[in-house]
Amino acid sequence: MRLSRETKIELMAWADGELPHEVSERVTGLLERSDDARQFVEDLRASHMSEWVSEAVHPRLSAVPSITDAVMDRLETTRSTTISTVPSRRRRADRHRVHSLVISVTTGLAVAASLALYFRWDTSRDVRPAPIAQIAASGGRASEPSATPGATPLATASRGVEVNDIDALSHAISVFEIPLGAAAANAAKSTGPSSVVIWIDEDRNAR
Amino acid sequence: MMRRRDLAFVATMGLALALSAPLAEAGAGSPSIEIGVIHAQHTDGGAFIDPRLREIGQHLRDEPFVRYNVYRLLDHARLLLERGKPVALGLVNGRTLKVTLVDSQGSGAERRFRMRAEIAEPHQEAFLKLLEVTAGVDEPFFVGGQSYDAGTLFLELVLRP
Repeated sequence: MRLSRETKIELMAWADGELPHEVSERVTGLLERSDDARQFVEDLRASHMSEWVSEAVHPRLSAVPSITDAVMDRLETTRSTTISTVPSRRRRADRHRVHSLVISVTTGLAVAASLALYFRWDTSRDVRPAPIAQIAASGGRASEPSATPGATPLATASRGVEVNDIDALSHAISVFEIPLGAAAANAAKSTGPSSVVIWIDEDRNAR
Repeated sequence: MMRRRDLAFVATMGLALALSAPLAEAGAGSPSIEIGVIHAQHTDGGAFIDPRLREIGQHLRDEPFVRYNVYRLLDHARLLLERGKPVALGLVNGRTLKVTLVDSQGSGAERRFRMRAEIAEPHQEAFLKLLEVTAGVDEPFFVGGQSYDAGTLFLELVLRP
C-alpha cells in the first residue's frame, strides 16, 4: 500500500505528537492496520526523516531559519565588516598619528639643529678672533704720536684700559680688546669699558 | 702746671700730624701694582682654571685666552708704585718685569694712571722694550706670548688703590 501525501503528513504530525486527539486515534488505527504506515513512522524515527519531511512539507518554516541565518550572517558580516573597519580606521588614525609624530620629530630635530647651528655660530661670533691692532715684527713698535694722556691711544675704551705705546723690537705684537669687569658678563654685546691683552710673539721676526 | 701739660699735648699732636701728612698724601697718591704670573696650556686632559684667576675665567671665550684650557697662577706680587721709580719682579722664565708709574690724572674714583712696563732679558735685548698704558684702579690688562713649559705666560697687571 502506498501512503498518500496527506497520510504521511498526518503520520509525521503524529510522530511529533502534534495531532488533535480524534485525528491521533484515527492515525493510531491506521498504524495498527497498515504495515507501510508503521514502516514510515519507524523510518522517520530511524533516519530523522521528520526533519527532511518538515523541510519538504513546510518550506517556509525551513526558510525562516535560513532567513534568520541569512540575517544573522548579514549581521555577522556587517559586524565583521564594522569590526574590520574600526581597526582599519584605527590603523589609519594610528598611521596618521605616527605620521604626525614623525613630522613633529623631524621638525623638532630641524629646529634643534638650526638652533644648535645658530648658537654655535653665535658662540663662534662671541670669540673675538682678530686682534684690534697688529704690528709686524719689523720695527716692532706701535705708538701714538704723543704720550700725553688723553691723546688718541692704540686701544681705547670708555674709561677702560688705553694702550699708548708698544715697542717689542723684533717681536710681532697683537692687541686684543676684551670686555672689562661686569661688562665681561655681557661679552660681545657690551659697549662698556674694555681692557686689552698685549700679545708678543716669542719668536723674533715672527709675523 | 696744667698749662705746660696742655702745651706738650698740643705739640705732640701737631708733630704727629706733621709727620703723618706726607705719608697720607703718598698713600693716597700712589697706587700699588698687582701682578699675576699665569701659566696657560692647551691639553687634551680637560680644562682647569685656577680658582684665584677670576678675571681670566670671564674671558675664556675671548682671544687669545680661548687658545688654552688650563690656567695656573704661578706667582703673585703686589708692589707699591711711586712716580718715576720702577719696581721689578723676576719672572719664572728668567726675565724681569719692570713697571713704572709715569703720572696720573683726575681724582677719586675717576683717577687714571699712566704707567710703563718693560720685560728685560739678561744678556739680550729686551723682550718688551716698552709698553705704556693708561688705566684706572681695578682695571686689569694682560701681557701674553712668552713661551714657557709647553705653554705660554700671561702677566696680569692691575692697579690697586
